[in-house]
Amino acid sequence: MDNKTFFDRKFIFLSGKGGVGKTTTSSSIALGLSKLGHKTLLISTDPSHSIGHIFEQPIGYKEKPIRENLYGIEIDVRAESKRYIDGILEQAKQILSPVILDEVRDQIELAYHSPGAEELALFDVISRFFTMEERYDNFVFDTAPSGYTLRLLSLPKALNNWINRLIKTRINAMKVEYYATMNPDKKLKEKIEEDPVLKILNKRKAQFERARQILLDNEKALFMFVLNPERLPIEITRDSINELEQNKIKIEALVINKISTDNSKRSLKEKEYIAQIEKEFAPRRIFKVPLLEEEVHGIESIEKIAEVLFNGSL
Amino acid sequence: MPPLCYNTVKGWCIEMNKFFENLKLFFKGAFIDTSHEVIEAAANMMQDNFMIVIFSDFLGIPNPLSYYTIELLPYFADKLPGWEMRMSDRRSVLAKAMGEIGEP
Repeated sequence: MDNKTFFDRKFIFLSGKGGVGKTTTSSSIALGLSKLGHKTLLISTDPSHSIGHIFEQPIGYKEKPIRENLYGIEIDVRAESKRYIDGILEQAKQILSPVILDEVRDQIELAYHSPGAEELALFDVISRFFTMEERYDNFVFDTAPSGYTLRLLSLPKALNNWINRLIKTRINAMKVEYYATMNPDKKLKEKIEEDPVLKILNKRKAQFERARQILLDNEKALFMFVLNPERLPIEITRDSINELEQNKIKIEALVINKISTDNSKRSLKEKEYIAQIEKEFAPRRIFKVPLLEEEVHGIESIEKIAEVLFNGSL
Repeated sequence: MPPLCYNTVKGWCIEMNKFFENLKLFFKGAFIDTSHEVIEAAANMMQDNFMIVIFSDFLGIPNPLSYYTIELLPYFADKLPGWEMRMSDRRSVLAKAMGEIGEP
C-alpha cells in the first residue's frame, strides 16, 4: 500500500506528547490529502490554536476554507464544555422551582470541574464529527496531549455496558411506577417514549456506539503517534501504544519528527534512537521527518513535510 | 358499573347497590390498596437505586461519568434532598421516614 492510500482514511487521529509536532504533522497530512483532491477538514483542539498560525490566517470555531479542498476548524474544548453546562442550567430553570434550582445550581456548575470533564468534553467534540461523515472525504484531528486522549479512547466499551444497564433500570422503574399509579394519564409505552431521561440516555448510547464503530474500524480510522528521536518520547510512546492496543485500538504508524540533519554528536545519538524505534515498533509504518532549517511557519514548510509524508522524500 | 337489578322493588334495589359498592370498597381497601403501597415502595426503591448509579458522586462515591450524568439532574432535582437523606443510612427507618416526609 502506498502512502497516499495509507492516509486515505475517513478519520485520522494524532497522538503524542505535547510539543512533538502533532499540529504540524496533522496540518501536513491534511494539506497532502487536499492536494490529492480530497475534501479535507483539519480539526484542532489545541488550546493555543496553532493551525491559524501555520496557515497564516484566522481560523475560528466554525469550519473555514483555507485553500482548495482544505478546511480548518479550531475548537475550544473548555468553551464547548461551558456551553453544555449552561444548557443544563437553562433546562433546570425551565422545569424546576426557584427554590430547588438554587439548591442544585452549584452542583451543576461544579460539573465543569468534575473529574474527567475535559476528556469527556473533548470526546463530545470529536463525536460530533462522526455524525457528519458524508460532508468531507477526510477528517484530520490533532488531539490534545496523550494522557487525556488515552483514557478517552478506552472508554467506549465500558460505557456501552454501563449505559445499557442504566436504560434497563430506568424502564423497569417506570414500569413499576406505572403499576403503582391508580389512574395513569398516559399509556406506559407513551410514557417511555416521551421520557426525557431515557432520551438523554439513548442519545449517549448512540454516541458511544457510533464512536466505537468508527474507532475500531481500521478502514475508517487511522491512529498515528508523533514522537521525537529522544529517550523519553520513545518510552511514553511505548506505554501509550500498549495501553491503546489493550483497548483494541491499533496504532498503525509513527512519525519521527524533528530529526537533525547535521553531523553533530546529537545527530549520531538520534540515529541510534531511530534504529531503536524502527526495530521496536515494526511492522508499523514509520515516517521520518527532518528538522526543517527554518521554523515551521506558513504553507511552504507544511508543503515540505507533506512531501516527506506522502512521497517519502524532501 | 350498571345497576345489578332492574325489575325489582325500587328501594330494595338501591340498598342492594349500596351494599355492593361498599363491598367493593372493602376489598379494594383490604387488598388492592395495600399491594398498591408495596408496589409504590418498590417503585421508590428502584428510583433510589437508579439515582445511586447516576449521582453516586453526591454520596462520595466517585463517578467517572458525572460530567455526562449531570445532564439528568434537572429531572431528579426535586427528589434529591429526600434521596440523600435516605441514602445516608439505608437501614435506618428514621432516615427513610425523614427522607420521605422531611425533617421535623
